[in-house]
Amino acid sequence: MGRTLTFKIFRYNPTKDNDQPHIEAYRLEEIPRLNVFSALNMIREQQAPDLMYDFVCRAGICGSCAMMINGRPTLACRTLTSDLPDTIELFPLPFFKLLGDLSVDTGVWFREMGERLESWIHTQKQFDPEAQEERMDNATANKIYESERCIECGCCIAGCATAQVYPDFLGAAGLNRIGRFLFDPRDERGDQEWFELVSTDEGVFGCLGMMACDDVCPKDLPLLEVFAYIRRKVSGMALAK
Amino acid sequence: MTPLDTELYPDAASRHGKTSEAYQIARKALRDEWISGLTGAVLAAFIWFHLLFESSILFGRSVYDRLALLLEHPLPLAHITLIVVGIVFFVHFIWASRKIPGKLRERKKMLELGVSIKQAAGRWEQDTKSDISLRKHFETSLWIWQVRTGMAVLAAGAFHLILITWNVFTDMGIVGQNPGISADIAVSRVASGLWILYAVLMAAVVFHMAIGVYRLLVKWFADTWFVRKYARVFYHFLLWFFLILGTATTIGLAGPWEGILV
Amino acid sequence: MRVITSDVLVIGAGLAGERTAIACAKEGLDVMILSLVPPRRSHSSAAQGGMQAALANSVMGEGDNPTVHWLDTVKGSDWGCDQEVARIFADNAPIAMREMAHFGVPWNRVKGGEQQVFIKGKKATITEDSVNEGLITARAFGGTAKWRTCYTADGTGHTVLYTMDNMVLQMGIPVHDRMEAIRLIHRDGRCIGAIVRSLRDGEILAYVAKATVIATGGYGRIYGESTNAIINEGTGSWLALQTGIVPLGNMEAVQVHPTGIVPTDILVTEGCRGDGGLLLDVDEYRFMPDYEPEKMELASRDVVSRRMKEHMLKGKGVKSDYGEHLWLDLRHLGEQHLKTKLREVYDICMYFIGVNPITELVPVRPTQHYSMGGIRVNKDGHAYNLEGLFALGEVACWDMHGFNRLGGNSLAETVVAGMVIGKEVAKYALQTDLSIELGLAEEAAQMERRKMDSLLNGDGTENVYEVRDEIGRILTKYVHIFRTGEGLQTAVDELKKQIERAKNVKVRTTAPGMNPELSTALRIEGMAKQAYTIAKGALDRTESRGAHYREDYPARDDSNWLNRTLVRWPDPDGEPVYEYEPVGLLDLPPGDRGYGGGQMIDMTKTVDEYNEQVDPGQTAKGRLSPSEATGARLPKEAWRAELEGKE
Ligand SMILES: Cc1cc2nc3c(=O)[nH]c(=O)nc-3n(C[C@H](O)[C@H](O)[C@H](O)COP(=O)(O)OP(=O)(O)OC[C@H]3O[C@@H](n4cnc5c(N)ncnc54)[C@H](O)[C@@H]3O)c2cc1C
Ligand code: HEM
Ligand code: HEM
Ligand code: SF4
Ligand code: F3S
Ligand code: FES
Repeated sequence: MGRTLTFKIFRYNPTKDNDQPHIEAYRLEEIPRLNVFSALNMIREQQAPDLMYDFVCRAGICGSCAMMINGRPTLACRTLTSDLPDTIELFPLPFFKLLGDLSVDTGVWFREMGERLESWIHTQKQFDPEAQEERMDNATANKIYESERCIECGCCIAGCATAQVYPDFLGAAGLNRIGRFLFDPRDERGDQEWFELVSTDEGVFGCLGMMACDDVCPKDLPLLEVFAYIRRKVSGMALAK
Repeated sequence: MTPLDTELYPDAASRHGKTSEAYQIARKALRDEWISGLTGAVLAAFIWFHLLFESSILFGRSVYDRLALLLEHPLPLAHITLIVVGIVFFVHFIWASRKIPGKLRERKKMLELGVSIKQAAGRWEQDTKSDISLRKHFETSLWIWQVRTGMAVLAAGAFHLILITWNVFTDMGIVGQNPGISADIAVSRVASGLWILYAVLMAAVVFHMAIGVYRLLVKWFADTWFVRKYARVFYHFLLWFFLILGTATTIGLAGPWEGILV
Repeated sequence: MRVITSDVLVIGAGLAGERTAIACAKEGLDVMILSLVPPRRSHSSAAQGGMQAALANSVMGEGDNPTVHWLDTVKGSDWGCDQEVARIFADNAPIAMREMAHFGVPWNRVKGGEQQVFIKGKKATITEDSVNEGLITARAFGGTAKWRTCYTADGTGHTVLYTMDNMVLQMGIPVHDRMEAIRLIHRDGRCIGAIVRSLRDGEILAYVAKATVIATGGYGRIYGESTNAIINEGTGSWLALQTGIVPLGNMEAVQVHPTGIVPTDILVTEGCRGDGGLLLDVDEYRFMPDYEPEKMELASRDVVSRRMKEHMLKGKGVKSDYGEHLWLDLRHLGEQHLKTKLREVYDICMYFIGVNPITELVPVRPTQHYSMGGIRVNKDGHAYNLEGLFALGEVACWDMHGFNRLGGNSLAETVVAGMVIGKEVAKYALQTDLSIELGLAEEAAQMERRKMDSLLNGDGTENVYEVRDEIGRILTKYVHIFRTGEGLQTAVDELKKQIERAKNVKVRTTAPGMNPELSTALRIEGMAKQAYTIAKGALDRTESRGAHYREDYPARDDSNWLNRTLVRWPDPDGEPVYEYEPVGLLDLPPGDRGYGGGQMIDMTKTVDEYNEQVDPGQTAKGRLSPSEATGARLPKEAWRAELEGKE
């Protein structure tokens, strides 16, 4: 308590002519239970009214506010300054398109990822409003939910060295999404189709097992488990042929 | 309420044929992954036995020689292993290195990432002169080191293999000596100064093997009951056990510790 | 100026907006969705608890049906709702849940056999019928007769929104995110689209469509302290109020939740108290038993909030840098319990305020949570007075919530309304021609450009953030749980000043692009004026109903106030115009809610007399005629069988 914090913030406004990426420092008196969300608001309201960043839920559930905090991709809204040193460095997530300062375009990347994976239930069944719902084992529902919990924050992509080098790689979030539909008995996609989608260098074999995704995922998703499942499943598919 | 009909989903077969290009690509990707992984696993297993057998020098030359004889007679095991390992070594090198970023720019980026995921500049360039602190990510750095040690193993290991091949298949011009492995030759070779090369090869191969096994385990076997933590413990075990054993063996082969355990 | 055309323009990519878009796209219409943020970041994703639908699969839901659900909803609303709309909702909710299951929501399912649960904070065992194994299960929620709330663990809004957005992907519906609608384009009582500002680069565009749908969610952030997402600044309801002709309904009906944590105002669930958590004051004294000897911490939401506030007014609050608060004590529940059953709460406390609930007290205070009021629409979702404009979701006053909504009913509302209203939107768009009136669009855009110019280059002096904070402070102080004539009058006077200040704002940033300060400055007029309509509506309503509690008028007054407040703002520089209309057909006559106590003043009219004036009364206020006659969906006295069956 009583600390003066120095925020070193990456600044760059691509819509401004001749603006160069640079780092600016802002000072702030720390107050109890301050988090990076409140700190950024204070900086914007008192010192840098043009500072750009994204928050929506400010509760760690919407995935908007991922940024590099002292070199680690994480959610700014649930990072307390008391867990950080006096100097706090904020950078936008790498990899994603920079919109300005700390704001990056994760939304478009994730939409494209979803379209590539056809991230929806493929079924031949028609919905019948009169009928009872189809049954599902609660354990299966929970398993799907484990992967469905991803909040598309992009931390895993930003932390993954492979994703930086191969922009077409689906990344941890993409592989996790594949797992979510593989687990789902309602999705009628056949083995072969999955095989073609997943068994590629953009898919599961693009992953070199760097494990950064697993370390930075703010939702603690069982990412490595899902990847291993997919690898085994894909091998099984090939052997079954 | 009229239902909202979701788009009917056509049979997979009608959208995809076995001869389709996508299918061929996927087959190849899977095969590639299996080849590099399996050859890596085979080499790792080989190295475990190899280093264990080599360490017999710590029990003295006679133990070493007896072991060597066991591997030569009645079956010429060493000859067979040499050929097999030589091929696997080569195949592994070809297949595993397909994952090494090829273009110089990419490689540079990847190496930077080993130092810090933050330096993965992405769409913006990091000012190298800035005083922004760097944060390492352990497993990412490990991967970089696997590539580096792989290169070292390629160079030193290939040299070693050629040397051993020459040794095993010829009498090396030493009159009266049977072709094959013997403590005398090993010690004289290592003690004559080659120990530097062996030390480097040993350290590199142990690192490479331990990291490789760690990642293989995580990549294929992670599960609710087999969590990464266990694989990491195993990695540390492999690394330190073989590093210590290997160091002792090198010193043994180079002279001072020969037969230290008897 | 770029002009983008489509058949249907949906403003808002939360559950309500996306479900509407899907319904329209299914009819072959060309749909465009706008959103402030990528769709999956919409506030719908933050809802954790669940969605109510009378599926009656769990043993604790046995005997449930849409009529029981409807009864709960009408009572919950304190008879302020439109009973026919509540009926449409309750009847369709089960279909909506099943459809979401078909789309891919991993609902939690019934597990046969004995289950350990908590009922009213005590451990209990229930036995699920194995016949129902694998069907969608449900949990308990406040104000409901049965366990009816369908859920996916504690991420219901998240999974439902993700599934919905997957459907949007599948149908190829474009979503333009980081786009803010700032003005409707309309003339002669017909809406033809909206002027939109890009939050990527500041560009001004016109989106023109046959039908325009507003589904922009709540306005909680006008209060400053709110459990809502920070993008919920009432920009959608402002679009309607700004027209001067479309009325907002029941703006004074604002729900407050007892336990938002301090300082971040994130919600911690009612389950904390359900499982035995206690409320303590500055002396770490347990005060609730003094006020509510019967139910103590577990009285209804509005009652607990009221008592907490009362206690703080007595000077027993804990002072902090973030204002006054009380303590929630969970320590005695033990580590095991907190790390399993209340894991989410544990995480929130640890991550957000660095408080470990196992060993420390959690700071909480009653916090604004939900807006029952909003853009007044008829039962087809068509806005009053403006053809071609529809609204649904939290932003609308379709009016199934009246003066108090039940937990789990609003998420369900978004999907059901999307189904029902979506079809009406499609019907409307299919029989309408696109009228692209470029002159009109240009005119509307010009007004916004002038506004921006004066904010950037004018000689204003006010700091927009200060004005925003002041509005929130006034509302939180005077128009919260307790309302008095005096306090509300102060609020009205103070807010009037804020409206003036809002006109005098100066934006310091001149940087091009997103310009976050300018974005806020553009919203401030709407925030100030809506705050005013809330305070004024509350001042005028001299009774207590649901969440609207007047200390000086503690009784519910059905003889004078069984009506809905409508407010329009025809003259931007003048005063808003207040009117009142009948709430809708009464099927269940006003009576006792069965909880909350309180006095009642009975109706002077008979129910039949009341019902006769509904149609003419509402039409006179600008209601467009709905596709079906009023009352067509309200099965008369279906509830009788239910209530009598019980006796
Ligand atoms: C913490 C919390 C927990 C809750 N839990 C529950 C629960 O358990 N059960 C339940 O039933 N209800 C719950 N609710 C209420 C419920 O979540 C909301 O009422 C509901 O999600 C509203 O959905 P919506 O589609 O109307 O709006 P939202 O989901 O808020 O979506 C609004 C959309 O409009 C867009 N938008 C806004 N303004 C503009 C503009 N000017 N231009 C363009 N786009 C715009 C936004 O970007 C967003 O996409 C909870 C609410 C809160 C705050
Ligand atoms: C010719 C020299 C060698 C080179 C250039 C080399 C290179 C590589 C590379 C780049 C990888 C990473 C591949 C990937 O991540 O998919 C790898 C993996 C591996 N290598 Fe080697 N290697 C060599 C020799 C060896 C030897 C001698 C061993 C045995 C000890 C070995 C064991 C492994 C293992 C177990 C893996 C893990 C396989 C995987 O992750 O799929 N390698 N090698
Ligand atoms: C079948 C093939 C092989 C045979 C027969 C063989 C044989 C030997 C022998 C006889 C020695 C003792 C030193 C000497 O005589 O020069 C030795 C040492 C060593 N070999 Fe091999 N080798 C084989 C393959 C490999 C491979 C593929 C590697 C790794 C790439 C390797 C790594 C080493 C190392 C590191 C040492 C030194 C041990 C130490 O100092 O601890 N060998 N090998
Ligand atoms: S997998 Fe984890 S880190 Fe990656 S986007 Fe999802 S929540 Fe974020
Ligand atoms: S960090 Fe990247 S390489 Fe794989 S294990 Fe995670 S996706
Ligand atoms: S703002 Fe939603 S996760 Fe941080």
